[in-house]
Amino acid sequence: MAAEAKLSHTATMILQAISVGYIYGLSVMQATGLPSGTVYPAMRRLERDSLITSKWENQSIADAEQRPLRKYYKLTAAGKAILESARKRYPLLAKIVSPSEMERV
Amino acid sequence: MRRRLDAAFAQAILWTAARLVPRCQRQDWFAEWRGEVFQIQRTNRPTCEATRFAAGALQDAFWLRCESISKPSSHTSALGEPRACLAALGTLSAIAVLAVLLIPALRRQILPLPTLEAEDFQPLSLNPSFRDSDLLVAGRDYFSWRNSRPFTATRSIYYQPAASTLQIDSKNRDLTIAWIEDHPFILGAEQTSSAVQTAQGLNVLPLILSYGLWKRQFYGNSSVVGQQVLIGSKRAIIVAIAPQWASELPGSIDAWVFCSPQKMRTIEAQRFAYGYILMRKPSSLTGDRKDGDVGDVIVEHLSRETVAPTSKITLSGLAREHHKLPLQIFLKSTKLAMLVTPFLLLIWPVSFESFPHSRRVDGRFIGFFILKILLLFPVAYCIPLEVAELFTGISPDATHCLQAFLTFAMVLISVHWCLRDQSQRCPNCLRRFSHPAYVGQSSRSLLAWSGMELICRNGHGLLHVPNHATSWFPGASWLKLDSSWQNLFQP
Repeated sequence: MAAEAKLSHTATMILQAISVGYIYGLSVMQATGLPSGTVYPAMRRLERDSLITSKWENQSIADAEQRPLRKYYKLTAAGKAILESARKRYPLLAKIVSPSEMERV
Repeated sequence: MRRRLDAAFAQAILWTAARLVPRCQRQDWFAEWRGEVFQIQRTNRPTCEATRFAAGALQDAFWLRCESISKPSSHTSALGEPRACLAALGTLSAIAVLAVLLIPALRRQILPLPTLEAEDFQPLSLNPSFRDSDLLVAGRDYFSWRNSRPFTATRSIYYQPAASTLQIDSKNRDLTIAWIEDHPFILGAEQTSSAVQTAQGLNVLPLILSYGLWKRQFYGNSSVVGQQVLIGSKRAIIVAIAPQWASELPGSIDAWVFCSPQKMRTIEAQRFAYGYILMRKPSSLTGDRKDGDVGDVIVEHLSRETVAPTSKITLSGLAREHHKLPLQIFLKSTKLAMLVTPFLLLIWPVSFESFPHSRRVDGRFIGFFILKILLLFPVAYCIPLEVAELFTGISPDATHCLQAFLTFAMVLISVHWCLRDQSQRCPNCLRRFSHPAYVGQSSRSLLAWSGMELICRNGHGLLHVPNHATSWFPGASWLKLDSSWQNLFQP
C-alpha cells in the first residue's frame, strides 16, 4: 500500500508502458513522451521498489543485430498489482499508452 | 559532420555523467546508456537528438549518486573504508577542538601561555618633574587622565597600596596589599581569569600572592591556590601567585586583591589616596598596530622608570600549574582508563584472531589503529572540558571531578571501540569485513562448525567467528585467500 501511495502519474505511465511491451528505456520514452532525464531515474526507483526487474538480453541477439547489448525491463507481480489499482485511478492511462502504439522491438 | 559532432557530444556527456555513478554500478549503467544512444544514432533522427537524450544521463547519474549517499549499502557502514573512517574521526576531532577554541574560558586552557616579561610593564608618573613620590597618583587624577585617553584603557592599570591584616591559619600578619583593577593583562591573572570569575561569583575577593610572600609564608607550597584567607574581615581566595618580577614593582606589595566594582568606584572618587600606574608597553601587545603607535608616544613622554628585568619568570609556577590542570586531569584519567581497559576486555571481549601476523602488514595495520586512537584523544580531551564548563558555577572541584569522570569514560570507550573496529578489519586492505553469514547449527557442532562468517569485500580472506569453541575453530579465525580468488570479487 505504501508503494501504491507513492506511485506518481509518471511512474504509472512508465509501468503501463512496460506492461504493454515497451521494455527498454528508449522505447518507454517514445511511448510516454517523457524525457530521458525523467524516465531513467523513475525506472531506477521502480526497480528499487521491486515493481519492475531488469535483465540484459542475450549477447547473441545483440551480435546478430550488430548493436550493443540492451537492458530489458519487466513488471513484477507487485508491479502488476499496483498497476491494476492505478488504472482504476487513471482511466485514461490505457489510451495514453496503448499497445497499438508499440513499435516492434 | 553534424552527426559526428552530435555523437561526440553525447559520448562526452555520458562519460562525464558516468563519473557521478557509484563505481559498482558504473559499468552496467554506462553499457545501458551507450546502447540507447547507439539506437538513436542508428535510426536517422534529427541532429542533436543524441545529445539531448544523453543530457538525461546526468540526471540519472545524479539520482544514483544521491541514492548511494543517502542509503549506504546495508552490509558496510560509512566507516568501513579506512579513509572514510579516518576522515570521520578527524572531522569529529576538529569539531571538538573548534568548539573549545570558541569558548574563551576554555581557549585559555588549551592554548600556550602568552609570555609577559617584566620589561613589558612600566610604572608611570603623570608629573613631568619626576621624583620617587611622583609615582604616586591619586585615584581621581588617574581615572580622569585615563578617561581623556581612551586608548590607554587597555594598556594602563592602577593599583593602590594599603596596609592590611591577612589572616592565614588563624594567625594575623600585617602586610601591604594592593587594590588592583580587575584587568585582563596583569600579573598572570589572564591565565587565572576563570578562577577570578569563580571567586567573584562566590562573593569572595580574588587574591594574588606576591612571589616573596608565597615563598616566605607558604614555603612555596603549590597547593595554596584555592585556599581561603581573611583580609581584615573579608573573605578572600588565593587565585594565583604573582610572577617574581612583580616584586620589583613600586610599593613593596605583598598581595594583590582585585577590586570589586564598588571598591573601584570608591577609588575613582578618591582625591587624597594615592596609587601607582603601571603601563603595558605597546610592544607586548599583539595585532594592534595603530593604537600601538599612539601608545609609544605616551610611554615616551610619561614613563620615568623601567622596572628592572631582574627575573625572566613571566608567570608564576602556580599559574602554570593552574593552567595545566585540565591537561593533567586528562592525562591521569587516560592513564587510569588504560589500566582498566584489560578488565573491560574481559567483560566485553574483542577477538584479536584476525590481527595479522606477517611483519609486512603489521606496520600499516597497527599504524591505522594508532592513528584512530590519536584522532579520538582530542575528542576525549575537549568534550569533557566543554561539558564540565557548563557546571563551573557549582564548584571548581565538581567541575574537575566531572571532567575526570567523563575523560575516563570516553577514553575507555574510545580505546575499546578502536580495538573492536580493528578486529573487524581486513589485515590487508583495512576495510571492514562485510556480508555476515550464519553458518551451520549449534546442535550439529560435531559434524560442522557453526557461527558467523564474514568476508573481505576485496577477497583477501574470510573471518570465521564460531558460536563456541570447538575442534573446528577454537576461536575466531582468519582464513587468508590467495590471489586466485580475486576474480570472484570483481565489482
